[in-house]
Amino acid sequence: MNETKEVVITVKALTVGYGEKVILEKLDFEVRRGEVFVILGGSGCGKSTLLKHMIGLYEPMAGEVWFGPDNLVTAQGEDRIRILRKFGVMYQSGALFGSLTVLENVTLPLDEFTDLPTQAKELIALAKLKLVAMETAASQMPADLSGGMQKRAAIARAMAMDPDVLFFDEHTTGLDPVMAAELDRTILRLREKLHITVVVVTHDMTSIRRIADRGIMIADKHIVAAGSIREMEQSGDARVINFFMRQEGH
Amino acid sequence: MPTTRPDSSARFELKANGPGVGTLTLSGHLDARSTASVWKDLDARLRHRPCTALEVDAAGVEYCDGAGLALLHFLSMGGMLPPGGKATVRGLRPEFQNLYQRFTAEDYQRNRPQAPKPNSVPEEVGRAVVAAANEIEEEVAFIGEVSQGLVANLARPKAMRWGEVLRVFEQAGVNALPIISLISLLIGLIIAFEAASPFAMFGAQIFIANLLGITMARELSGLMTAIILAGRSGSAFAAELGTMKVTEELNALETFGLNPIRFLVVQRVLAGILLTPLLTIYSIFVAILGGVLVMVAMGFPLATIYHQMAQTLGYKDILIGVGKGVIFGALIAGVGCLRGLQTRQGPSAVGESTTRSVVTGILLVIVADAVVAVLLYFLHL
Repeated sequence: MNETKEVVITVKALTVGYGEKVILEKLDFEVRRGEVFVILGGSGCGKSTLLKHMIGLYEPMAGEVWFGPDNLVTAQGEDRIRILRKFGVMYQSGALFGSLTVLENVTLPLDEFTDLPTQAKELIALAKLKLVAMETAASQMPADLSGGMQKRAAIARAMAMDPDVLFFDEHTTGLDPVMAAELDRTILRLREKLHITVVVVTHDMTSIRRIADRGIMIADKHIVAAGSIREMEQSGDARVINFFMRQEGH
Repeated sequence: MPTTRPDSSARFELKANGPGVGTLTLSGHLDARSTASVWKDLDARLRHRPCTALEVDAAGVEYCDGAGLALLHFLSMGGMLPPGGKATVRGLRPEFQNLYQRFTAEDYQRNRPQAPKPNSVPEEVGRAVVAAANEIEEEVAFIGEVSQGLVANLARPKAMRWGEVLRVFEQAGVNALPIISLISLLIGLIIAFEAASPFAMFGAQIFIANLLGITMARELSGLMTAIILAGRSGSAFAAELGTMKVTEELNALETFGLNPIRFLVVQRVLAGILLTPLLTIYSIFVAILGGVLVMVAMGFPLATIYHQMAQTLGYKDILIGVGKGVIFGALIAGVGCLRGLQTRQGPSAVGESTTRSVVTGILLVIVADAVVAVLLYFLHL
């Protein structure tokens, strides 16, 4: 990707942990507009924890997370809500609300944060669902959908407010290879059509090779490799080489 | 979509080009906030001055997100125009045009939510009757399966999983002792205090002992214990089995060739049958103790209270309380397990099952108590 592209997320000296235990220490990296940025690492390395801190679910021990000119870590009240609306998140399980239809799930943020009339919200929701090829399931309940369909509906919900950035937490977990590939294609389509920035946490190498522009790899509390996948693969670090070899079954 | 989202407002201008013909010029930034106000104002203006043919000039739109596109789609579908009215959108920038064309009026008409058709009264009644019949059928089948499983497991004690019976006995029984002690003691105290004044008018305060003994042994202790167990243990059984169903543990049992009723339900029902009478006896004695404390405080000697109570309270009364305990225990444990097994999918399913188990458990206990009361009356017991 072009180095001159605008930076949308800046993580500065981020240290996170639970209680006294430090999970990740002094992480620094940037995500640029329009790229698919992956956070890699083996199970338990803290990549999902990092994502939860980036989206403001947990408070870090130290450090900053900037979305453009706004620091999410220190933001309060209305400012914080304004920053939160800059991004959408697709959780591992989809996290659709089981008591609402797919369409109601997508219109929920529009109901809460806009004064748009009902027809406008329905039109927006159906258009977002069409982007992920889920418009025909609008009236269905989440329990009636397959895992892959639930995830696609969750992407539509995450996009309802037209965020600048979409976060994906282990989006291919629990999907068969065909569905996983379809979801990857959806991510790429969204990036192409909406020029959206995508941050993906994953350890699925097939998916990484399909979608990633740049990324970081985490091991032993630190970033051990950064850059494009090719650059990371060429890293001399034994932990990175082991990760790539293990994930690809060598 | 553009890379920046400036905080600017959207503007519109509506011009009449002839009778029923107009041009709408949109410009600025059509985001969720500005579109909401444009939508409202435009709707009001077009209602006031209806157009059957509207040309929408969107060349001046600099930013357009999902909300802005929704407005353009709504206009192009004739949404703000009189029936038969048509609108055409032109001049949209290529980056917005691309997104605009991905969604069509047909997509909206085909997939928009439809209001559910209201059912007629006979239909509703029919559905309710069928649901009730299915429920009864399921309950009868469940009672049959549990009885069969109980007999089969008792005939082959190795199959009973006594460790599980003991675990449930401890959790639902022993751990319930503190709450049963407190409630029983207080009920005994309350009955004694409430009876003291009216009985004093007739100089009959000594008969508080009779009242306490009979009401607690024959009725209240059993009922109270059952209600506590329904709220505490019946709901726990429903939640436990419900969660196992949601996480497919019950399916795993069945694929091993194990019957969930014999493997999980029978143990809970047996524990319920054994522990409820014991808790009922315990509750009787604690409640009587509460009443006796009040009577002693009123100045009655312990020996007098004992003799008075012994005259009316017999083994028969205690046995009636214990017998009810057996019935109530079976009902509460059975209902808890049945509701757990009936758990459907979804995040609220386990919560629904636990609520249903408590409501049905208490209802059945009261119904059973009423039936037993009628039987005892006719049997002169």
